[in-house]
Amino acid sequence: MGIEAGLRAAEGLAADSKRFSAQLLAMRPAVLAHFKAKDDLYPALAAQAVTANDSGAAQLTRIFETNMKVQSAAVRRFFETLEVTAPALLASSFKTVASVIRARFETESRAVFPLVERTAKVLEGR
Amino acid sequence: MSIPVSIHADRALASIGGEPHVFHCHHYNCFLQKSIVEQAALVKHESLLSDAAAEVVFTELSALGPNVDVSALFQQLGFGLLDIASLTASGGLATVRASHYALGWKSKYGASDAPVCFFNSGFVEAVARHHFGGAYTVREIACVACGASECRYEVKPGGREVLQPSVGLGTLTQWPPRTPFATKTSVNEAAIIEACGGLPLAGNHEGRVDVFGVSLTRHFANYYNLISYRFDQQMAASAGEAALEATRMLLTEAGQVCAFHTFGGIMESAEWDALIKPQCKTTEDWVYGMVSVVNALGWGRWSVAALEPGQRLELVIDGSYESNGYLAAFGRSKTPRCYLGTGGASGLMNLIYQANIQNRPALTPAFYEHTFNDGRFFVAREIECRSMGAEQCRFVAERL
Repeated sequence: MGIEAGLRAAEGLAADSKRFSAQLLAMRPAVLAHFKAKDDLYPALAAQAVTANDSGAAQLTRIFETNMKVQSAAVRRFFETLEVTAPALLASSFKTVASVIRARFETESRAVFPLVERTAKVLEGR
Repeated sequence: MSIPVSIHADRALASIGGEPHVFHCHHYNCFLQKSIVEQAALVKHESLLSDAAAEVVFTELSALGPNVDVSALFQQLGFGLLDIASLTASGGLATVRASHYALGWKSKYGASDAPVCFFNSGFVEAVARHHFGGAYTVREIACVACGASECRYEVKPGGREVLQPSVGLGTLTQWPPRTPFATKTSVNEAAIIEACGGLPLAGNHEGRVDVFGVSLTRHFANYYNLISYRFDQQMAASAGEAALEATRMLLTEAGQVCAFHTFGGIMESAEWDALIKPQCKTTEDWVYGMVSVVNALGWGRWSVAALEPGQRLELVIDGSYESNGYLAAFGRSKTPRCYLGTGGASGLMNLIYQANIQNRPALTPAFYEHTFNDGRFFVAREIECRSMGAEQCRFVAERL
């Protein structure tokens, strides 16, 4: 199950705290792996922009890297502490976490990945 | 002699010569400028920062008339001590001692390789144009941030023939009634606004406004608007959506930096202890207390629309200076534009519920990182914006 499908499934179970928690636990490995991979990806993207001699893209990627790292840490913290978070808090925090994850994916699709393609094309053309 | 400030209490604005002025500290001013300067690969930062200053200052000086004491104005607003005695119609040299930008930059970031007083350059350009007519260009040739004893500006005839006039108070609209939640507190907002109006917030003998642990300026609201919105225009033109998104991140963080230092400094000040803290019966009253102070800063009318203790804030701004200026200068927007408001909303909640400002922590860079990046911090977004056609600007800050 993808992360978006996992978020939707959790939202559908919000009224049932046991099944809601179980859904979050079930999607945890995928979320943690995804965000870990993304954290590793951004420095590589910045390095790619430098190699492509695109100082503007390098600068932008570093801004994204800084901001995304903060988001990643917060999302990871949420999923890593599921067992010790009170159910009411879990439900309210999940709404914010889900909105942050979706906003991030949308930003990456709209803004970040096209920038990456730009520098990748420069490198391919060499 | 001080230049009169018009207070538009019904708009929560203040103006001089028809130009709106807002209080902001050196942390915000320098962070915002640095955010722009660091994108030198994508924007023309020097002209972006100086041209906007020349435009808003020239508009204001024109309204104030030929006899206005420009050095007194500069000093009163907290920018330092400006000396233009050697300027003539053929140019010359202007100097600034105790420059707000140079001293602020040095205190935050250390010595600079290049001059940093872009605002002052624009101010001097406007002064030359105002006094002598015609066009002038100004270059900062020595800067305290680079180690000079004073900041010096070389003024030469030439340059842009006409400056874009500033939009003044901007696009003003009727405000809807205030939400009942806005007054659900024991804090007396009217008394706080009145008391803030009596604080000595004009520049001292050095042209500095050192209060609340920060160096304040009573800055030109449209300067912030022009540099912010031209910045994102230039960024978008040079690198598309990615640059626009990065710009939003930078400008919103500038708002957070502002909140952390200015709101934090205010909530740790003797004035807060004397006037506002005694009215605060609950932690939530601290939110209302700070919102009341903000309503004396000339930023428009802030109101708490909903507050879940420790979890969520819904904040409404009527007539934010950002939306007033955006609508008048740039027209309707497709995206929210109140970056300062967004950063302010998350900053306010993080200070009160994450940083426990009530315990008077030291507002250091490390504590900033901890407050906004560690643990269960608040994130904010603008869900409605006047610049997009909404009646009010509405923000939600929620805990992650």
